[in-house]
Amino acid sequence: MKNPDTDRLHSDGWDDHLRQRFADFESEPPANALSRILAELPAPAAAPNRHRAWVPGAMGLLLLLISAWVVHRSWPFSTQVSANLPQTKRHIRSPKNKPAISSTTPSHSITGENGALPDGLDKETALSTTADKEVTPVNNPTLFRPTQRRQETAVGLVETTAKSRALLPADKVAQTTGNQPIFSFKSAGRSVASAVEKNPSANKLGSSTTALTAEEQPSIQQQIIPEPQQSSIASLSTHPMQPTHLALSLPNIRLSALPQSAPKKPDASRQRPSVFMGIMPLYTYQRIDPVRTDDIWIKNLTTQHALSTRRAGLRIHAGVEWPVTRRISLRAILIYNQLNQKVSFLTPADEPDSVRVEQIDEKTVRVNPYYHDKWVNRQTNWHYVGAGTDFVFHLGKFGGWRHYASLGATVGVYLTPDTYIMTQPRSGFVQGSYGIERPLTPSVWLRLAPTIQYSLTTISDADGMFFTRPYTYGLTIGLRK
Amino acid sequence: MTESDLLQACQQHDVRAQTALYDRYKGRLMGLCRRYARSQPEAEDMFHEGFIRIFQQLHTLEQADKLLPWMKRVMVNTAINVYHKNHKQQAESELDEAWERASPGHTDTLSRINTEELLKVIEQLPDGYRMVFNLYVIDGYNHIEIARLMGIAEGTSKSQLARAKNLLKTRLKTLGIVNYEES
Repeated sequence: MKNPDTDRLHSDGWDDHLRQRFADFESEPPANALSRILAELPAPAAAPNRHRAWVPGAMGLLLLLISAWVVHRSWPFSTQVSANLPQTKRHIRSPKNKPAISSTTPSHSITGENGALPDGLDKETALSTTADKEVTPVNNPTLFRPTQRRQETAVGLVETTAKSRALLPADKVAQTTGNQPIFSFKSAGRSVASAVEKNPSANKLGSSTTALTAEEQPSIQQQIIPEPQQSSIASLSTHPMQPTHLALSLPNIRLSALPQSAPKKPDASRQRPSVFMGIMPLYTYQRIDPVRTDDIWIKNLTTQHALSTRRAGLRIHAGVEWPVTRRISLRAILIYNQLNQKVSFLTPADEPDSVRVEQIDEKTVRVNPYYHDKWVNRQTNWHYVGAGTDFVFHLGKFGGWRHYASLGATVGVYLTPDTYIMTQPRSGFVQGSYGIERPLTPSVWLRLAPTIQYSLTTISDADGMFFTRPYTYGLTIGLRK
Repeated sequence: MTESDLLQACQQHDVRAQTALYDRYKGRLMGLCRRYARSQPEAEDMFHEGFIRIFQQLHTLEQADKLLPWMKRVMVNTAINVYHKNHKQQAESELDEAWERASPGHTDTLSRINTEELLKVIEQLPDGYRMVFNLYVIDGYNHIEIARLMGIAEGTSKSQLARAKNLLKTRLKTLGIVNYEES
């Protein structure tokens, strides 16, 4: 209305005269006009009653807190999930440090040509050393370096053997064949029985291989180990190893989901509820924590580059927005997320590709299976549905656009993709955005909002090899009415 | 009660505030409707519809000092909506005749007649001319805005304004002659 108009510059005084005449021209409306107007006004259903306006806000906040509490209580953290992982992880051996050949399964020594171990000292000593070294990794930070551990094992083996011999009668000591059998049993890793059972190559050796049976172990323990030590060793050896201390020692990097700081002037929000919907093309990223146990070893874990199309996904949402105050609104949202990500990593093959057999002495043979590393590529396509709540902070109007920031959370479930087994499909996201909006028509507004979502929980892959915490960046394009 | 208080109370659907707002601005807004309408009844309908829209959309207004301009804009938009509803093709013959007969002498007449008489002359203008004339001359819109509001070309707005002025001048001149003869 105030734009310069060249025609107006040439207007004669006649225009000015008319404008002055009608500038403050008043006329009397009909007497009953006001009553008719008020009668036709719709009832103030969405009146900005402050007390009522806080009700959905408080309910939303309460719902949010309860949902977050439920998710956190029901989500088993890394140690629990590790214990419940599918058994497929057992097929993966820990690699040794040599790059060309990986062999993390300890060598097996089999004493005796007839498949029977000599009674007495060898078995007892071997078992005791095995039990000792089963305990050691629990508090040993070098657990995940199998080669180093084997070196330590060899050193510790000699010491343990010497101690054991000191406890035995001379005739028992005489029956031993020196350090070799002890070393062979020690190098069998967690237990000789399980190692032989896992190792197909060991079974091929036929009569030359001998293993301790599970029934034999308790009796041997009772013969040589003092009572208090027996109980402690038994409790430790019967429990699966839990990498709790390692999980706790990992750096917990969390990305802030807070939106950008607010500009200056506050702007009034609408006083009526509005509906909105939007679509957000997004890129998915994920923080990956490999499961660090002795049976699982992942190397060279890589993901796609930042703008890879394999990361591209989509978020679709719709909801209702209620004004709480002039500056703050509350949204209730239904959300569908489709997240894509590809992960590549190097892991030992499930089966050994070769076996090295060494004869230690006349009665002892050492078997070393070798595993080559293999590349695994895993393309993941998650589908997530949930409901959430956002608080919207109206920041004001700048340059024809209304600015706002939002912060909220979503709870929902993952719909299981093929490549993932969800031990805990329930999950939550926190999301934040900084948005601008402007009217397209008198009743429809366009919204643009760069948005970030960060998962509250981690999820595990099918093989239980790593935990993933997805987060996304995207641009929300939406309409509200 | 200040305009700010009045605005806030009206935004909370306070009937007393709505009544106060109505009483404060009814004269000016009814006068605006009279200018845009073809007749008194049409002006009353326009006023009625416009005020309902004002009360319904008052929550979108944020600055109290812009209350009156905003209400005027709502009324003008209502008038344009009424125009679009009632739009009919005008006979070009009358307009061409008016264009040809425009001549000086209307200024004296304009100063002699009162506003009500002038309003009658404006009411008799064809709908499109009257709209453009009011929007441009009285309410200060430019041709680009008029074209956008009325859904016409900018050139059409200019030509309609020129023809509206000429027609008005012709009629004022005629009215002056008649008045002169009567006096």
